[in-house]
Amino acid sequence: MSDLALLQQAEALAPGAIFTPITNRVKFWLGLIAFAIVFTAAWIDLELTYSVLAGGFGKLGQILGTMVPPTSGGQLERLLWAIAQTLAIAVLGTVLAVVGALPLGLLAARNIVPNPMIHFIVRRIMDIFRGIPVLVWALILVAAVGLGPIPGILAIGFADIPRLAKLFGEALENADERQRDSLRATGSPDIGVLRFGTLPQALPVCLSQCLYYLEQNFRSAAIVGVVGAGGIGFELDERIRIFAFDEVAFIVLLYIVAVTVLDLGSQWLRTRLT
Amino acid sequence: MDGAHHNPTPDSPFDLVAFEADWNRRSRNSRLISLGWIALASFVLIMSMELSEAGQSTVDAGWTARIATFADRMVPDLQLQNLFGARRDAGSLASWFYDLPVWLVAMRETIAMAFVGTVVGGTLALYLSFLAASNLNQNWIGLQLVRRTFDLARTIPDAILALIFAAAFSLGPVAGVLTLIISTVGSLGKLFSECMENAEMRQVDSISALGGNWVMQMRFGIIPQLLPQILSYWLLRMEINLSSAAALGIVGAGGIGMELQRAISFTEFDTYLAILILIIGYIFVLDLLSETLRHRLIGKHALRNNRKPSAKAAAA
Amino acid sequence: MLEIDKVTCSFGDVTAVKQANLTIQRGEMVGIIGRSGSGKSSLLRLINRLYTPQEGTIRWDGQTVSDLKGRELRAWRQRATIIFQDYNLIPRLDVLTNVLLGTLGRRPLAPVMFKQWPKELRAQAVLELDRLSMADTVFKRTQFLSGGQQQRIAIARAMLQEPEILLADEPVASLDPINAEIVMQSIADINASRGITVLVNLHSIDIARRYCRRVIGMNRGSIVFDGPVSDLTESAVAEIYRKRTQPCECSGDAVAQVQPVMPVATAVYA
Repeated sequence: MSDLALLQQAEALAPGAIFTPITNRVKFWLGLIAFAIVFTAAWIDLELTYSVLAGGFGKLGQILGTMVPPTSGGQLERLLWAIAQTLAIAVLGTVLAVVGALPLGLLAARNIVPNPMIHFIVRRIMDIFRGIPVLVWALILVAAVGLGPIPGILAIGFADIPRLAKLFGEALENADERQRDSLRATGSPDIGVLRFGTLPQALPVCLSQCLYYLEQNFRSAAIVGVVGAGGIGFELDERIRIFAFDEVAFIVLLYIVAVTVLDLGSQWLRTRLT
Repeated sequence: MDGAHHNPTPDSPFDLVAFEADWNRRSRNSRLISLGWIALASFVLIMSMELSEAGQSTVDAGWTARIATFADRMVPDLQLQNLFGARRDAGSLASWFYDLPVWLVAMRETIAMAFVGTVVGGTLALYLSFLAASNLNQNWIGLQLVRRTFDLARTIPDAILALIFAAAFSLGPVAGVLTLIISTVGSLGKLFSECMENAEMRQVDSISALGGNWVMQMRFGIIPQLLPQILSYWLLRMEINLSSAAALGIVGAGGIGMELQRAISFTEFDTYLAILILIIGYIFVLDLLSETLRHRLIGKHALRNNRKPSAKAAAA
Repeated sequence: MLEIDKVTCSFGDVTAVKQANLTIQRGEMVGIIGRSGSGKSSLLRLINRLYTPQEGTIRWDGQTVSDLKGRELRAWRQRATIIFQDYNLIPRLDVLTNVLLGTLGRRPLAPVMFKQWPKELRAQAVLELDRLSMADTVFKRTQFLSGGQQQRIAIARAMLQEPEILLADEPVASLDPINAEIVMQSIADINASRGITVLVNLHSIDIARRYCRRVIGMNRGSIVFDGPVSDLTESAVAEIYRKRTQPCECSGDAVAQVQPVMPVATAVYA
């Protein structure tokens, strides 16, 4: 039996296994080529040339070199204070977000507000604002309110209100309807059903999300400082501008320790909640 | 079960006095605990107010009014009669969005940054994650090294990475791409390695029984069963990067964010609003696209495996 | 006396209960049997008024309850309490609070929101639990208790409402035989000692035979049997549990054919 006959015999047993349909292969290769073209175009658009990269990495090497040994520059107290301020911005921003998100979350929950128009509108508005990054909020608020922690708090609050409201709404909607029904069946008024049928189920979820957002906002609070909204980001930005990278390294290390401590504390609390 | 005495007799004396005492003690304790939490929360709040100077208000009490006047300045003076007029007509949409071609180029740059950053970062993460999965890498030191690198890459906020890269590579998209690569490696590396730790090892074992080496075990034992998950995480990260790339420009890392920064520094607040609308529209379209794409590409797989990654997990 | 007169209730295309007629005297203990989806649960939920009938009336002691709204509806729900197959307690709250939630409808709201209850009410709740041998669990979190214990807590909560009717929707379907026995005995005791009218949905004909003097059979939303347990012959049971003659049969014709076979015996008991 010739090779070709063998192949044809196998193909007859399992159509498509030997002679893969040409369209499948073409689709795969076209996809791959399109991907490669887009990737190359993007690469060229960004001017990621060898000389740029080589020069940049050389300079980055120098910067990393000046980072050792890290030093506080004799300003440890000031830096600790800045870290505390960053935490304060994160806390107040999260509180603002929670206060703003609670009523919106209630409006967005189908089982709390039966009117479909209301939660449709609330959800669409939240979808639009959910996409605005915190840094964009911070930039405009620093211009509006002036330098300092307050625009940072507002930026974090505004950025998180629609995100938290969506999560709160979902937590409320996920509440087991049977528990709510059983209270309704006792003759409880709606507020009683909300208090005992929904709240015990939704509150731990919401609190856990608040803590998660607090963790994330400690990062956001450092970022908004870069555009002038106080805290550790502001200190970092200053030192990067004057190329004091040994102090930058120190601040980054300090910050990593603070993030780790906060994350561990918050995660411990979150495991206790559930 | 206490079925033996389920038939209660009316004269079974239940000690109501003891119950009442017990109830009082318990409710006192729970009140104390609640009070403790309230005190702690108030302390944190007051300390935060103090530290952030929100209480003493260095920006004076009129900041709400200032936001209002500022918002007023952001709104352009559009005039209805020449709304669709040319760029030089005062009050036209074209004069409001006067620099649209430049912004669109900047937008393209943002998208390119996110695309390259996600592809390169995700590829690096995929290779590194084999080393960070405890079931695939028995070398403890190597494992910890890779894992701590992921942690480090996730912990440092991307804007700060961008600042450092901008210092080395000068302002522009290169700093942005590198930042996105690092943060993508951090987050995807962690998620990928967690996927791999949950993978079924029987499939790996069967490849090794066939005589496959480590690379073959990974290629045919791990990748096929995890591909839907890996792809969906990857796409989700693409979405996150596409929106965070827009913001990175604000600290000098290229793209549309730099135009935002420029508008603010020239106090062209109506221009800022125009670019902001552009960004919001962009992110909105992005949401829709990723939704449909996710459904088409891997929706079925992801649903069947019940492993649809949450946005929260990918952002972590 | 509970009178159900031509009650129909449907959800979209599905008719859960159609043209149901039923009269139940005070103090009766009535079992309701039928395949799942036959409308047993809906019937109980209609009486408690979790559902509202589209047609027909429900009367209790001459008072029409099928069109009550607002405050009066809540007052009625307190008098016609219901317990469920899955207990539907609040798992994160302690047993005592769960029982006290039975009084949500008649307590002033402000103290209730902060879980403040008067001493007498707490004592009453504990005594209700004690009657069901559950007093030792008062401070435990409900989610950690067994199914049998949870159902007894649900009964205690229902009794704290001081109801006139107890509606039990498959109360023992999720329980093992020993716990099913305990729960059914408790329900029977309540019926016997307090004169509370009991309607209980059951999936087991054995249990129905043992605890109920009167049984109602439902098939596809209609009441197809109503009579003393002694009339519940093999052929009657077969008729109650009869499947649809044709898989896609959706009209009411089949039901109309079923009804003459087993004549409705309401008149005997009215």
